[in-house]
Amino acid sequence: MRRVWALLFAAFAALVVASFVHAPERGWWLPEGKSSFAPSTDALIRTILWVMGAFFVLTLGLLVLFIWRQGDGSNAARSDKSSDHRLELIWTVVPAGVLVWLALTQMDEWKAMKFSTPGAGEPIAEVWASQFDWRMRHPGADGRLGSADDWESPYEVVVPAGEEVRLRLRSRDVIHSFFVPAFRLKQDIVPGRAISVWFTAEAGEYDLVCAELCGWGHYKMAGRVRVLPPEEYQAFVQRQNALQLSGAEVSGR
Amino acid sequence: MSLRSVLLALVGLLPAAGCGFQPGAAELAWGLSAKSREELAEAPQAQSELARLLEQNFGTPADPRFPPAPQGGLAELKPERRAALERDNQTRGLAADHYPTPLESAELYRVHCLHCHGAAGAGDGPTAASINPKPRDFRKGIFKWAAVKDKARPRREDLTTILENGVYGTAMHSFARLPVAEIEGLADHVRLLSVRGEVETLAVNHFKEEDELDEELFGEHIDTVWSRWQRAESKFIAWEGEIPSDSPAMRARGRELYLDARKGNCVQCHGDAGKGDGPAAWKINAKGKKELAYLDDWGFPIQPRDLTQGIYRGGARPIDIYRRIYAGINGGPMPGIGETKNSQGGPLVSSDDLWALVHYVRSIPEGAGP
Ligand code: HEC
Ligand code: HEC
Ligand SMILES: [Cu+2]
Repeated sequence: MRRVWALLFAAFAALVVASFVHAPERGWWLPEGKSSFAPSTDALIRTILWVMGAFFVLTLGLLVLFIWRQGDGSNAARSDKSSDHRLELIWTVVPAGVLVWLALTQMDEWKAMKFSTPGAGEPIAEVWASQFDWRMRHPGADGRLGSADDWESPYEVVVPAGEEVRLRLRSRDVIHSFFVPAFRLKQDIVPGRAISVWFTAEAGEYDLVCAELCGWGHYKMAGRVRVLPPEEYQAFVQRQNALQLSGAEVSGR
Repeated sequence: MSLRSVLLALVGLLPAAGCGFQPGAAELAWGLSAKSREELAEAPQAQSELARLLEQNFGTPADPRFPPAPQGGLAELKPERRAALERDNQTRGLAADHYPTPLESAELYRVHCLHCHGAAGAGDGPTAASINPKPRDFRKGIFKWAAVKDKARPRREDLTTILENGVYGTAMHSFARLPVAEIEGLADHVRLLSVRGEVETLAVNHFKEEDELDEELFGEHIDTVWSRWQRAESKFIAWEGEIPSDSPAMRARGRELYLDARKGNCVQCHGDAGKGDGPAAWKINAKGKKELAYLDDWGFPIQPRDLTQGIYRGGARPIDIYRRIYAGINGGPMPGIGETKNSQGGPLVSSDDLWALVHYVRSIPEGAGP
């Protein structure tokens, strides 16, 4: 029976490793990175994955080995030793060292995302989260948010490509989280606070999802970030500013 | 088996069992509305005849039919919308004129809308119990956020705009992530349910007055209801050209009209500061408790909007607010003043005045921010 367990654990480890190996080709991985943060974030994710993977295989391997060796259920192979200081020191200090090293390597990344938000002044748009909708508010012709010529767009925020883009995140009710997987960007949105995020992205259309369980409809709280080449973006904004002050019908399609 | 392995197996089975909503046959069927059954309680024959006629003309959720436009609405799309549909189809690798069949539209509705709006569009899906305002009951043919006057039925674009924009500030969120073709198909299905519901009510009322119900008459009922829908386009509130621009003078004028009891008189419902607490909005009931004075057409208490929030259900563009003030809000107490006459038979307010009101209303939340 012990041996069956050993094989089961071994199979489990093999399954986990195999699923990681096949993840990219099966689309189980994150979408291709499309923001300035993506390369370094991916490198960090990969590093952590390798470190964790190595320890995972090591611990599970040892477990399988020990269970297997006890396979006959006798006490013959047991040692009387109750502790081994050297061993304990190693398995405490090595992982601790790895953790400290990881904490230090990710600092630059963290600083870039959280403490280097560019520019003062108005953000490109304010992203309002509510159960279960995204609604974007753009400053309009006067470039100022909170004035009467602001225009709103449901579902989708449009931003320029290749430029530093800052968005201000706001919530109308509970905590939501702004997550654009392709940008490797995730930030909680807290009611009563105005939190900024920034990124520089390639042109394209990207999924925006809520990453904080916010109620029964959380699963369908989807939006989109549309990144346009700068000239197209300028034209788009001008068109929207004008439409805001006209009676014409609009559909974002 | 040991207790431990039983527990383990149970935990493993949990995801398989799921915790999804499993609608029963009754929740998926159309049938007769509770009101029709009640009204025709004494006439069981009329009940079964009505059920038969409804099914004969509109089919069932598994085989939906819409006599006025049996193929769906593809042929009704305006050129720009048709172009948008074709573009969108092509980016999805579909034939340019791909369009859902009535059955596919019904299926989309079941997946995306039924849990709020109910199978027959009565606004009674399982989620409805826990949200306020309630999901729209389509069967009266009354829609609030259409760009039309005279309490007309919505145009096709009104329905698709609502689907793409959502009704902000309510549980009705945007469905903009769906393909254009699916949005159009869903609009078809909403219209089907709405027309079916109106026809049902008409048939019941007619039967109660005249004691008649047969195939020919039922056909006439469908024509009557459909002609209401066909009038929508002629009721569109258009605005060509520039919108009179926002200015402090405009806002001041708007404020004046907002307060003027003979002109806008918005203050009686929306209150001086726009908080939705005007004197007409609330009343003291028999128990001495304060309660909302107005009910909407579905019988739910309704509060005039708190205009300080800057959350507009029917759209936040100036033109949207203009249309609300021009035509009022269908299904509720808010009156339109766009075509009201004064005692001399001239217009009560000029179009500049209407825009002044728009600019004033939109300035109320300025700077406040929630
Ligand atoms: C989470 C619940 C919910 C879901 C899901 C939902 N709706 Fe609604 N819907 C509402 C509510 C609530 C309202 C009423 C808003 C109001 O009172 O202004 C509404 C209103 C409407 C209206 C009427 C707007 C008007 O002008 O009066 C239409 C049309 C509509 N929904 C269609 C749909 C369709 C089609 C779907 C599926 C694609 C759908 N809804 C899904 C909750 C929902
Ligand atoms: C008889 C009461 C009443 C009067 C008078 C009235 N309103 Fe309203 N108003 C309402 C109610 C009730 C609602 C909410 C409707 C709903 O949600 O269905 C509303 C909603 C609104 C909205 C929100 C529309 C949206 O898209 O959410 C605006 C803007 C508005 N009113 C402006 C005005 C202005 C301007 C006037 C004066 C010209 C006015 N109202 C007069 C009762 C009134
Ligand atoms: Cu959320």
